[in-house]
Amino acid sequence: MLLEMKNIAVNYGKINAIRNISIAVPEGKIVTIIGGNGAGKTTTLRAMSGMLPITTGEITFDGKRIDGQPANKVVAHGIAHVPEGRRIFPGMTVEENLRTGAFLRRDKDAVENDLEDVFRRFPRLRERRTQRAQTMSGGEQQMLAIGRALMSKPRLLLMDEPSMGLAPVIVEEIAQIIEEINANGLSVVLVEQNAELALELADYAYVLETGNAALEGPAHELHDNEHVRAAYLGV
Amino acid sequence: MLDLLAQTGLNAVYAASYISLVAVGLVLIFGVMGVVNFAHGELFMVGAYAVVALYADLQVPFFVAVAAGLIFVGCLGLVMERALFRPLRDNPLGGLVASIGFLMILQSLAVLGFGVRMEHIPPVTQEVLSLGDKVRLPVARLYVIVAAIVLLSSLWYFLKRTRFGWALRASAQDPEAAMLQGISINQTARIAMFIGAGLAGVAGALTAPLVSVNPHMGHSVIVTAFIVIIVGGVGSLEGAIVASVAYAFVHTFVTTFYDGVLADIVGLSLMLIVLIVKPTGLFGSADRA
Amino acid sequence: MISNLVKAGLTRRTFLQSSAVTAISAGLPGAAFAADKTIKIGFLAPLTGAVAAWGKPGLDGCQIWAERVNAAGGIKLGDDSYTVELVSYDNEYDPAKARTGATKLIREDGVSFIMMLGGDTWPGVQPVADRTGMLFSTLLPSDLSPDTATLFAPTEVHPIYLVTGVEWLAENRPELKTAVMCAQDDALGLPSVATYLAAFEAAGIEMLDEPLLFDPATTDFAPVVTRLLSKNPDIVCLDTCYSDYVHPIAEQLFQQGFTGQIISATADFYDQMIAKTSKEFMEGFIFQFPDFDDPALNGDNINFEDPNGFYATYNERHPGQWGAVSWEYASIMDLWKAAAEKAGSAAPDAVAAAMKEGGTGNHAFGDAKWWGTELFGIDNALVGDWPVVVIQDGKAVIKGFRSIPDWYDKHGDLLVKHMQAYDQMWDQRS
Repeated sequence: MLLEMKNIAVNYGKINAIRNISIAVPEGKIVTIIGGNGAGKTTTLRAMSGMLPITTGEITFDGKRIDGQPANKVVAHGIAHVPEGRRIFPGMTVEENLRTGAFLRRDKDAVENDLEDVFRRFPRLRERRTQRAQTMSGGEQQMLAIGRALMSKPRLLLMDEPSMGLAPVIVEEIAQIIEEINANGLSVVLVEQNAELALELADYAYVLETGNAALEGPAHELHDNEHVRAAYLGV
Repeated sequence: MLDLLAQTGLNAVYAASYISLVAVGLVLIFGVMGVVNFAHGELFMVGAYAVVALYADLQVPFFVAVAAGLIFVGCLGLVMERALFRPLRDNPLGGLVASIGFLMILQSLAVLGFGVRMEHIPPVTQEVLSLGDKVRLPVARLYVIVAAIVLLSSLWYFLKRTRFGWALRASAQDPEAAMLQGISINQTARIAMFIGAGLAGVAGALTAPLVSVNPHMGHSVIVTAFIVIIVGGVGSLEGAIVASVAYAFVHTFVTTFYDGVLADIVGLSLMLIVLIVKPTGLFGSADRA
Repeated sequence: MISNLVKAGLTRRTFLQSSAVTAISAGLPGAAFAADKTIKIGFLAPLTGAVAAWGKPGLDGCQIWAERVNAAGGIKLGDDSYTVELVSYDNEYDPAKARTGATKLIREDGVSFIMMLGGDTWPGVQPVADRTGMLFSTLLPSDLSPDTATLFAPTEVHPIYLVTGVEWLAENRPELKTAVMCAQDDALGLPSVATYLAAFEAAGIEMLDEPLLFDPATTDFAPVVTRLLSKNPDIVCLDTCYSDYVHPIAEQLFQQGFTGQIISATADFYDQMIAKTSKEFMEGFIFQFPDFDDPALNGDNINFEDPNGFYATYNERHPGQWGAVSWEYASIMDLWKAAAEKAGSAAPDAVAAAMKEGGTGNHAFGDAKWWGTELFGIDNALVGDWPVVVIQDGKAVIKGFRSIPDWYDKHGDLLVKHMQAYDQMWDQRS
């Protein structure tokens, strides 16, 4: 297991956002977390990357405990987090955004290569490389956010609702990109409102309801599950 | 008339120089840390007193005294970050109030250490550059202008071309996203405070021989700095520089051609107009909440 | 038996106390004598802040005065001798603080007389004066009004003494025909602006521009000086700028290449001004306040005891601090003491009556008249001669004494005209 979350609870002040969740992410797989609004999906991801402290439980990455560390230390282990709402740096250019993703890296030549890779993968970013990020469309910003995350050469990529607010055509593109990077060996945890998309892409899935993992299992099985179909696939 | 305009222009460039150093420092601190540093004028004052203590009292060479002042005030900024702003990070209003308390402490320490009288600092140099018959630029003022250009250019380079500069800008624009790139908010805050405070301190140190140094000298500096950053846009460094230049020119020309009190009124009116027409300032945007 | 022993003990203790104290009192005015034989004099002025230069040195001078007087036996009212004790209060040139200070000095300290700088602080104190009838002195006759009969200006006659400098200038440098002026915009600056304008007009010197009033918070004087010099004046007048302004303005005048005549009310710490500019630049600077080691102060006309000695002691104790007011309050004390001794009492109304008896008084710079009804509404200013001081070869030298009433007889209408234009006549002030 690349990442393991065991019996996590997370509180926002007095609110118990996550009661008890355990998640395991095998290396090289795509794991998805789906569920309704307020189920705790984003909270789970933020706990993984250290943006939120956990109240109980433990999180290990590659066998090492990472819970209790601040986010900037957690990502140093090789985790990249593409946050909900993209959160690119609006006043910085595309290139500056990407290079900031490589903040922790010292291997200059490899960084240049990886920048080239990102531009190859996202040609539209190359076109706009000196443009300020805030002037780009939602889809382009999403690609920038993913590109920025890739620049840290992570082993695990956390993605929070990448399809949100995007046109279906763009969502398709992003889905392809996720498949591609996973095919190259990157493990992914994908949080998605769009359950259809998520279950198609993922190997394994967790369904969150009010702070607990109500269901889990291989993605294609959950895709055929009665409850899931009714609640999340609109069938 | 041409001479008068030229001389007034030179006076304005000098004023723009020290105002922009102070304003940029203030914007940097606000942009990265989200806190309004009310003690910023006192940091300027401490820089001036560093020159009083080192250059005037201990006869340390002037530029060494200025450098020491910059570093000392920068470190004072680090103290403020650790003791005041970091514990109050989630409470910007608390940080503001704490900075007011700190400014009073600094003023009282200055009074205790040096007394309330104006300090007389021996002139650094009496040389004056003559440009034409009637237009003169005292070299001591030229130092301030040159220092402002050098320091602000260096800051620009730092922010645009270096890793830590980007870390500062990223933290200012989205601190959480910055953390996710591995940027340490504490470290960024420290850098921002050291630079921001240091800029105020060096402005105070360089202008000390040219103005009256007293424990309350920070007051008018902070007021001017606030006017400037409100006009320029509270999160914007370019805005601070442009607004400093604009304010310095308007104020200096109005003082020279009308009078000083009118100049203050015009400056404040400018700020009011900007607040009404474009509340985020000329270059500001609503990013930094 | 016991009471005898106790009596002996008390007597011995009192004797020991008083001999020790007599030895100390030469250095400490009003030290613990038997408490009821002390007269307390209040000193209510800015001791800190921008205007401290016109308060603190005065207190220092008064301490020297008090020691001299106490060493010579104190103040004699009738058969009793009293030691003089000064009680100071820092009003920071703020009217509210001055009011608090005045109340404290009268109620808690029981002073018989309060000396002030005056100016912006006087309106804060006036209600206290009117209510208590306490005797006050000010350095600024522009504070006088018929509403307060117990306020006197017995020494400095700011701003009207400024006419003497201009008169001397016009006579000795007739080739200088044009002038400009700057002043801080407050109660110290404005009345003297009016006076200088009248004096320049009387002397036939043309003002090239309106007086330039600057914000008291100004720290960078380059724009002000650039404006002053833009019309190439022969004379630059610094009005009654605080020394914190005079210094940077002079420095700017020097750096911007002015080589003409400067005239000012004060030139405190002129040695530092010379250090920031040059001896040549400061040569011929005209102002109104002598150094007291000046031989011209040893003449018979002068009513100040041993001015040279006073100056020497002052400089020994406060090197480099001699300024415009270092001697003035002490001179007021001379007048107060003479009046109290004449009246045989320290009560404010008795001293006031004795001071004004005969309509004349022994002003420091010569016998003078109680004067001022036209300008101030009341003749509580002691006005006579005043010295004109010029810096020569780095030292302040008295060039002569001029009569203020004589000037007024010739040109008083001009002064009234300009004072009215600036709302500084006594009946225009609220």
